[in-house]
Order: sequence, then C-alpha cells, then structure tokens
Amino acid sequence: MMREWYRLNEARESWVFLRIELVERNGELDEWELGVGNMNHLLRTTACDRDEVADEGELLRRLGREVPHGIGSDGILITRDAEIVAQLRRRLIANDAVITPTLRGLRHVPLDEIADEYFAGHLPPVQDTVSSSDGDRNRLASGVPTHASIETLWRMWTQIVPVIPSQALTERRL
Amino acid sequence: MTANESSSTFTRRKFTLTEALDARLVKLANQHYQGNVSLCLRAAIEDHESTLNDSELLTLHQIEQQIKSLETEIQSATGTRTDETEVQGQLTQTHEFKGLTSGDGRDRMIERVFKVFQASDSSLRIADIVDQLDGQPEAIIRACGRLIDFGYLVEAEESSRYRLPVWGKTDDL
Repeated sequence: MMREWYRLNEARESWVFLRIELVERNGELDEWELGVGNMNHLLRTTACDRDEVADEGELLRRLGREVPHGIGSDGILITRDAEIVAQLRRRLIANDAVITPTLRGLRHVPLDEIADEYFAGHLPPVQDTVSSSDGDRNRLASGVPTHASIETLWRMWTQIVPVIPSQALTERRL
Repeated sequence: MTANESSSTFTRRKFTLTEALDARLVKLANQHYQGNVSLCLRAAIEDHESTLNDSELLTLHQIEQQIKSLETEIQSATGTRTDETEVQGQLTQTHEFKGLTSGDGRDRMIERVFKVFQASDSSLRIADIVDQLDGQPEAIIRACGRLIDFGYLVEAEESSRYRLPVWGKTDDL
C-alpha cells in the first residue's frame, strides 16, 4: 500500500443495531431489522419478516447470516433494551432449526440501560430531521422510540458515544 | 554430598571441555568441594537440571516476596505509604484501552496510536501515524477506526485528518 493512500477503513463494521418484533400470541420471532455501521456511516440495513420466509427457523438463520460476529470480530450489538437479546436467546434455543447458535464475538449495549446509567433515565432526542417521524411514536421512559428505525438508533448512538465511558461499550460480552 | 548421590552407582565417562572451562571447574572444585572435580560436576548437573525444570520461577517468586518485604520495611522506616487507590488509578490510566478489542495485542496498538495523537499539537493523517510508529499500516488503520468509534478521535475539518476531541475546540483555533 502506498503511504499516500493510507485511509481510514470507512466500511468497518463496528456496530450492529438490531430490532426485533415477536408474534404476540406465541412469542415467536415475527420480524427483525438490522443495521451495520460505525461512527461515520450506517453501512447497510436489512430487514426480514415472516411473510418472506417459510418459518421462524429460516427467519433466524437469515438473521444469523447478516450479523457480523465471530470470535475476534469485536462488534458491538446495540439494541433498544436488554430484553431484545433475552428474547433472541430464547428463540435461538426454542427453535432447533438453528444449528450451533452463538452470539460470541459481540458485546451488547442496551440503550435503555445507557439511558438509566448516564442520562438519568432519558436519552436526548435525535438531532436530525431525517427520521423525525420515529420521534412521534411511543417512547420508552428512556426516550428511545419503541418502534425506532435502525437509522434512528444509529443517529442516537453516534450522539451519545462521545459522552459515555468507553467501558460502557465493552463490559457486556455475549 | 547429598544422600541421593551417596546411593548412586558411579559410571566413568569420557568427555571434553575447553581449557577455560576446565580451569573454572578446577577453581570451583577447590573453592567449594575440597578439590573434588567430579563432585563439583555432579552438583552442577543437578543444579542445572532444577533450572531447566522451571524452579527459577520459585526463585523469582521468592525474590518478589523479598522485594515486597523490603518495600514495606522502607515505607515503615520513612513513614511513607503507597496509596493503593493511587496505584490502582495509575493502572487504570495505563489500561484505558484494555478491552476495546478482544485481545491479541490490538489494545496495545490502539494505545500506541493514541499516544502519538496525544503528543501532537495538530491533526494527523494516517500516514503520519504510520511514519511515527514505523510501519504496520493495517493495524494502525484498524486502531484509528476503533479510536473513532469509541469517541477517542474525531475527524478534523480538513479531510482525512484526525485529532483528539477537545471540548469546545475547533480547527480554526
């Protein structure tokens, strides 16, 4: 590599944003939306719901293929709340269509806990108008919209990372 | 002579030594084994064997304990005391970046890159860091990305340059 061409890797997949919805009557996974990005870019977003696949197993397998994880990946999974990962764990165990499920290589940051710990329970509103429609929907006490799009989560996250301790991003290994 | 040695059956063995080593062997035997060269050599073998079997770790541990004991004595004598929380604080400071990656030395590269920025008065390009750290561009690029994503670095106004974030600072100042 010529030294003049040394550039930051703009495509680094440092953060993974995940939103899931469950079927109310049986608790199965109904849909997921996932985004991958870093401080500078939201690189990609993907979504899938039960209408697009044959069963929950396929929905989970597709999710697994999208999550950039693995030992040493150092990715950080950011969710609206801690319950999302608990729900995902339950579905991975309950659905035997997923072979060798793992969350290894990721660390988890639930935004509701960040809100409690570092913002006295209330995250600031997203300082951008692009996804302002999310702000009009129901909000958790933390200030995270309950149906926040991945882009809104990414914008919210880029706002708060510089003012919270770095340990808050790394202490919870999955 | 050890009990072990007294019960041994002796074997005669021919071997060669340099003249210098032979002189040292004779000197050691005279000093410590009443001139018995064979006895000196057998003891040397046992001693070396214990070294090879990692017994030096035990010795190091003993030395470490002795140093700690001496430190305590010095602190008692001088009336000074190392504040444990202060030491802990220093450790935490030097381990600021520990855990930002899952290991394999990348934390150390992150810290090295950060220190280059700390020592600089102006924003830097990736190439500047590569020059200062003498190579490893891939690791440096990865470390810079990690520092940015954890809020330790920000992009300067000038394209492709980076600096430490400072509250209130703009590149015009």
